[in-house]
Amino acid sequence: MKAFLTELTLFVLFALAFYAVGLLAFPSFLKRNVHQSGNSHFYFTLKEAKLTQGIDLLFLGSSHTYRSFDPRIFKSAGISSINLGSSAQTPMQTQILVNRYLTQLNPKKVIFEVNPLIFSLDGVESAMELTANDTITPSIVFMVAGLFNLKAYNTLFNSWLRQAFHLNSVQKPYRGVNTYIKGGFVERKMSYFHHKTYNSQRWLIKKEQVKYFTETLAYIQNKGVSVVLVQAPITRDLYNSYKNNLEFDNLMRSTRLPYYNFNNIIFLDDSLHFYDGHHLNQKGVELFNRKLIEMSNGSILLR
Amino acid sequence: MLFNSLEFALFLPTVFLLYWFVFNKKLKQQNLFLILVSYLFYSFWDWRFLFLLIFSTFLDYYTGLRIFQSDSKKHRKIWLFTSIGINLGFLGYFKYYNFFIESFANLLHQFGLGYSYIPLTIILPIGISFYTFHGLSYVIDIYYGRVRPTTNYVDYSLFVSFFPLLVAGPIERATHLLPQVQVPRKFDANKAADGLRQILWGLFKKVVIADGCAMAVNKIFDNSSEYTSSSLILGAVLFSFQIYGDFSGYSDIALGVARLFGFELLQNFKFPYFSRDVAEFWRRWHISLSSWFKDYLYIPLGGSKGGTWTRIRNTFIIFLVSGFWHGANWTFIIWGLLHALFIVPSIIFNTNRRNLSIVAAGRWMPTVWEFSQILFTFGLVSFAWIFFRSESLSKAFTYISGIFSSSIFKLPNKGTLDKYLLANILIFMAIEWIGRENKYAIEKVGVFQYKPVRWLIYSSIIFFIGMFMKTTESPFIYFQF
Repeated sequence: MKAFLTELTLFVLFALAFYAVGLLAFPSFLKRNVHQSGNSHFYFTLKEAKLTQGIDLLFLGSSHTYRSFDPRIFKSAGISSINLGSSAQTPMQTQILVNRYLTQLNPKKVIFEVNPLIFSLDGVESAMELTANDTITPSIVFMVAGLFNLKAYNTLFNSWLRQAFHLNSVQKPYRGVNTYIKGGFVERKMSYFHHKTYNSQRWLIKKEQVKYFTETLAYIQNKGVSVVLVQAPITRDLYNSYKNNLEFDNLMRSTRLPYYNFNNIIFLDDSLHFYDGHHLNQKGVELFNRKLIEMSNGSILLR
Repeated sequence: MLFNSLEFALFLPTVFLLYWFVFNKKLKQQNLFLILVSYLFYSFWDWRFLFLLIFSTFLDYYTGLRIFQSDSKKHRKIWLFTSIGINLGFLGYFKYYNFFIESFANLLHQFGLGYSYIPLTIILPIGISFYTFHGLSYVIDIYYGRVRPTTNYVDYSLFVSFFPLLVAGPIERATHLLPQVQVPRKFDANKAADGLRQILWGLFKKVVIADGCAMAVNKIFDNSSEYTSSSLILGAVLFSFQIYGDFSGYSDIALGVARLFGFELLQNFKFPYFSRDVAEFWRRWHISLSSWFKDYLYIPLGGSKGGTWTRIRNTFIIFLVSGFWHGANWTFIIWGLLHALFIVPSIIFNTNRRNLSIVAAGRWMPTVWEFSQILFTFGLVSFAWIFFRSESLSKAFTYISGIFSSSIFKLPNKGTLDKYLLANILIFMAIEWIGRENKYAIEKVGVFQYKPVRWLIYSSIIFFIGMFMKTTESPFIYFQF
């Protein structure tokens, strides 16, 4: 038995080494279960974040964040900002980002974009995005380990190897349908949303994500940074298809933090101001951001 | 807990180490521990049905003893039919109740009689078809004096509930497995290594081949009217590989896992797609079920004795029952009957036992004749799979009429096939062909002299699994039966 287990252990080490070589050397078509680094805007966002200090606003959240808060518009109003939004970012990943970057970025205020979707996801997609693009830390390892997802494990192993052997090539921000804008924003080539009907549905809020959310809020506030919760607008038809929006609003209000649901504040046109059900086009972004800044002169943003 | 899940990847080594290091002192300890972990394994699906499994186990254990102890044939018969009745009663209720009531209502409707019914929401307990057949074979074997009942309830429980075979077989026999349960197992490193090798190959079949095919198959079968004839043919062929990879992959994992604990289970597949006729296919596909039907249904019905028509009648009966065993749907029944039809010519011309050996044994390649026989048999089997895969008879007929439509000369629809899937299937079938004279395709890799070569082969398979495994849960097809 002892000889068998020794042999098996040696084989596992051999197989791990082979796996590592495969991840590093094999052509990409064989690496289907790996989220590659440099595939998204987030790689550049984090690169910028590492070099940024002392800003007015830090935006947190999912694609609703990095496609809805344009730092150029805020800059024109004299507000410096960085947008740490990433695809399907759930509070689980936001917590890791905040723990890592809040002190260094030292923002005056955090704008946490809180759409119900981020509370209903398992966090796998966003975990891979974070793992593929940020430096691997114990908190990332623990987060991925708890996901029970092979693609996330592959991504972690691949990223760790690439970082350990300094194999990450220097990428250039992409331009095209989606263009990366300095400060973590992604501008979409102007297009319009074609009306779509949605069946009646409900948000399914995961308790686990609420726990991460609450912990993250407490951490930010303990650092002396105030937080504003903002729900960016989505198309009206999509928003109205959810029957428990009020339930989510109440959940956000229970934090006793300022909470603004822009689906009820700004009235945008589904076709003219969105490019899909969830995301504003640039025209919509401008209207939304101007409204936010306009309100900030009163109270929201800088006081 | 699926064999292809990360949970099972934690469960198996834990149980393995506890079994060989902590519970290895006495036979009773080994068996009790395996029962407990088997029940735990089963509870991951639905703990409520554990009671049904325990009841079924007790029923067969008790009736087995009573059959053996009864001094009159009448009493033995009463106990036998009590066991069969209750076992099939449970199976009938959970699996067939809605089917029968719906068919009955439809029949009355044909005669102009209205009959309204409310279908029951019944959850099918996982593995019920398998453990019921386990128990039935035990009591029937006792009745016919082929086996003595065990007086040890723990031993019997393990025979029924051993976790590698609990949810989808192979359907074991008391004559084969019970003696293994009754003796202490000693660790054998070669057997364990062989078990791990078979698990690896089973995972490859499931994760790379079956799950790889599943996406294309689901798309094609769910929207068959939108696809060209060639796409539909491709869909049927891919389903053939999917179900083979899925079920034989499951069986390989089950056999490999059992071997890790010192047990040899019945071989369930012997490279069925290299069969030269449908009769040979059935000697190589789901062997534990087809031999069950042969021993407990075909032979009691008279088997091959009594002339051609009796054999044809018996063949139709076992394929009808076999189809019905798979599920309460006419599609399965037609699938079974089609196979019976495919076999009939070989019964009439007495050629059904012509191909008993392994095709092209000792040679690298088959002859042109053998190759054409294999292709023809594969074509027939794939055609029958269309019924097996379709949700209803009308969908199956729509699918088949799509195949024989004017679009037969058009290329498959764009995007039907993952470009790497075809390459994976070709590699897979090549390996299966090379290894067809063994118990499983990569069995002989274990005898390669150079360890680095062996390890490179295993590591390549692991890499493939890691890169192609679906990140969403993909249960085995046969779990639904």
